[in-house]
Amino acid sequence: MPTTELEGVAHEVLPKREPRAKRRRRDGSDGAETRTTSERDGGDEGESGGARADAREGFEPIARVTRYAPEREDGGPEAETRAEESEDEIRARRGVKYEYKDHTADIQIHAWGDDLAEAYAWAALGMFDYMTPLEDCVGAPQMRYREIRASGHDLDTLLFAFLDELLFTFHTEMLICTAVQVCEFNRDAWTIRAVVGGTTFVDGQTRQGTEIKAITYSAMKIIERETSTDAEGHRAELFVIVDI
Amino acid sequence: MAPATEAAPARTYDDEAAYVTVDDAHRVRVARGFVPNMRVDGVVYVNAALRALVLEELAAYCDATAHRGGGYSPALKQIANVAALPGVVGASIALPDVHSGYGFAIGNVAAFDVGDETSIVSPGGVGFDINCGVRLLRTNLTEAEVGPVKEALAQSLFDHIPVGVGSRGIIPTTPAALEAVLEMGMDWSLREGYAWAEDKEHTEEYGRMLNADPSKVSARAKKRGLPQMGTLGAGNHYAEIQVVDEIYDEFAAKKMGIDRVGQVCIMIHSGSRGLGHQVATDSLTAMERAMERDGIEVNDRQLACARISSQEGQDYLAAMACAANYAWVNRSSMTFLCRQAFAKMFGKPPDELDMHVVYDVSHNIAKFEEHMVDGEMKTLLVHRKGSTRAFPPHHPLIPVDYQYTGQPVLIGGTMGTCSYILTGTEKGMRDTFGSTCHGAGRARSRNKSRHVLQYEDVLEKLKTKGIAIRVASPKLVMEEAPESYKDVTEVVNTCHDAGISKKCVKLRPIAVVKG
Repeated sequence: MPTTELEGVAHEVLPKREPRAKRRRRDGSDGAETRTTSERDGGDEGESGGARADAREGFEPIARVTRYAPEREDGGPEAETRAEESEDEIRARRGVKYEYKDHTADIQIHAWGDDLAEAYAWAALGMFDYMTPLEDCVGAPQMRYREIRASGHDLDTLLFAFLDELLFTFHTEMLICTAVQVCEFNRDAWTIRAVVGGTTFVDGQTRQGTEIKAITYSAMKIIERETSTDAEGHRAELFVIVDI
Repeated sequence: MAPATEAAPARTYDDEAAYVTVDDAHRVRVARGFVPNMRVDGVVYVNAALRALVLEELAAYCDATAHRGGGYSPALKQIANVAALPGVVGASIALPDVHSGYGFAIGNVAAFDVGDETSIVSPGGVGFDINCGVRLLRTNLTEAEVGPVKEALAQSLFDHIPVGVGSRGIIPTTPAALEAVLEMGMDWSLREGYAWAEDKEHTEEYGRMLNADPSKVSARAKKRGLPQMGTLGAGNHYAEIQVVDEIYDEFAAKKMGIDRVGQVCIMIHSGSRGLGHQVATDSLTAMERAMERDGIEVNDRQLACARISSQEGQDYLAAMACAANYAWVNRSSMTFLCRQAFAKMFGKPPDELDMHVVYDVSHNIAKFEEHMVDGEMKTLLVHRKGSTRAFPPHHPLIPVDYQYTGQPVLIGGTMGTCSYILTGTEKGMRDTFGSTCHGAGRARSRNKSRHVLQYEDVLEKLKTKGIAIRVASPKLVMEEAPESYKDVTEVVNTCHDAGISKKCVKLRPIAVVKG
């Protein structure tokens, strides 16, 4: 990130923002590009909640969960339609880049992306999705934002610290993240700075998943490829086991 | 940086299995050479049926195509990795409920010689949920009295005890009170009126580890622990109303206040919540530095450890003791809530209902104990991860009431299956550092359970068995279904047949409250 000097102190310069319409393209599953910014506070968008503009200036998540609305032919309850698809199918259609792999006692999260920053971001969302179904949380009228900083001394420790920080934020501030923007992924100092957006978990209201106790180094694997060689075309992927 | 064990398995399953030999009907031995640097053998207590499960895990690991980049170390590898840690004595022992964990396997016991200055303490040998354990309360009620109101009672327990993800304790706590909790353990509960004096007597360590030092617990851990005190948690934690199904040892049962089939008991399975998890997480980071400094090499990064005598080692033990104290207070707070729920339901104070604590065991902890090693009495740091202490009769560390019976060992079943009370034996003291199993142990992965099982089917099955259930998360019902676990009876029988603990009472659930 470029810096500028003001009164003898170096400041980081935020990158220039792209025009809003262009930024929306990433998640425009329902023609969100055509909407104007004035719509952004309308809380009645329901299904397309994940695709609406973010209230926070400059928030440009690299990974975000959108609401998957199945096509309802007979207008029946959504849950029924949903039950016909397996979890993996739904996940694929929602376009999320994580999955859960078999582990006897705990859960192994497999996340991927075009670069490590994206894979880290999806791993974080995978973690939250296990604790509460994230699609319930997207499009909430009150989005909360928070900056997350973590540091380590290699890729493993950095991932561990990053996820631990988010888990800590959940357990102390009850913040459920549905979108993650990685602002800085520094491999020299091994630091990560991210802005996450999400909603507050309300005991008794938010649907419960399974509690994640901690992040582990057990069988942690972080893979980066120069050129995309694997079948799915992921440049970066990671495996992390979380303790249930 | 990738730990050695994560290198692609170069050996075939047959090569690997050659290291695993059958000792007798209840034991297999994992010979040195199975993983690098093993100092002692691995000994796994399994009968023929459970042996198949353990080997199946190994086979899946050897089949590289099956996990496409993912995969994890099977329990046998983890047991062997523990046998490679500095200062380990005797053997790296696994109990019948063993399955793959992180670092140590779950159901793994290892002891380290305190006299050897290279000996280590490992948070991976305790687990994230420090002092996770089981407590059993008895009542003078019978199934005939409780049966008709069990739905209402289950609901009442569910309303009284905060359960599940994101739940918060209802017993008010302040940061100052938390400090006292960490230092005093159940003495705090007693002082504040949440516990009875007798409860302490029937708890391991009398509900207080004296080496606790709250200043060694990070502010992060305290922040996580503060709102969660007196909460059950999620995962495999539960509160169950159970009835006595069978009594195998009348003398011992009577000493525990259990004297008839049909008597109602309450089992609470919980731990140190976010505080313990964070203590463990923090220590992993601190220990990595210590390992580099002291040149300690391990086979798996999750086995981060530090010399017992080092600052990091001592800090961890002091923080672990705090987390242990927190867990006892947590279970005491829930005991208080259970007593309230029962008292309201039956219109009698809890002491008239004879709601005493039978015993409270820890199954994720490290403790300094005296054991015989090669004919010599030694002070060892015994790590029990997913394993319960099972001291024999006449051992000085067990309560007066149980001096003639041996320490009660509480084995929690799974949702809808039986639980057991065992007692410790002399043979267990000699062979397994006075340790036995802790539960059923998972057999099927959480993910598979969610795909294979249907939420409704699992609930229907419980209903036909006459079990009332209150659960916060439907997803968890599938993950925690009895089908996902090993057969607890098989596990307990293996321990009984091997002589490392003795069956005393069998309990059957009639109501389950879960996260």
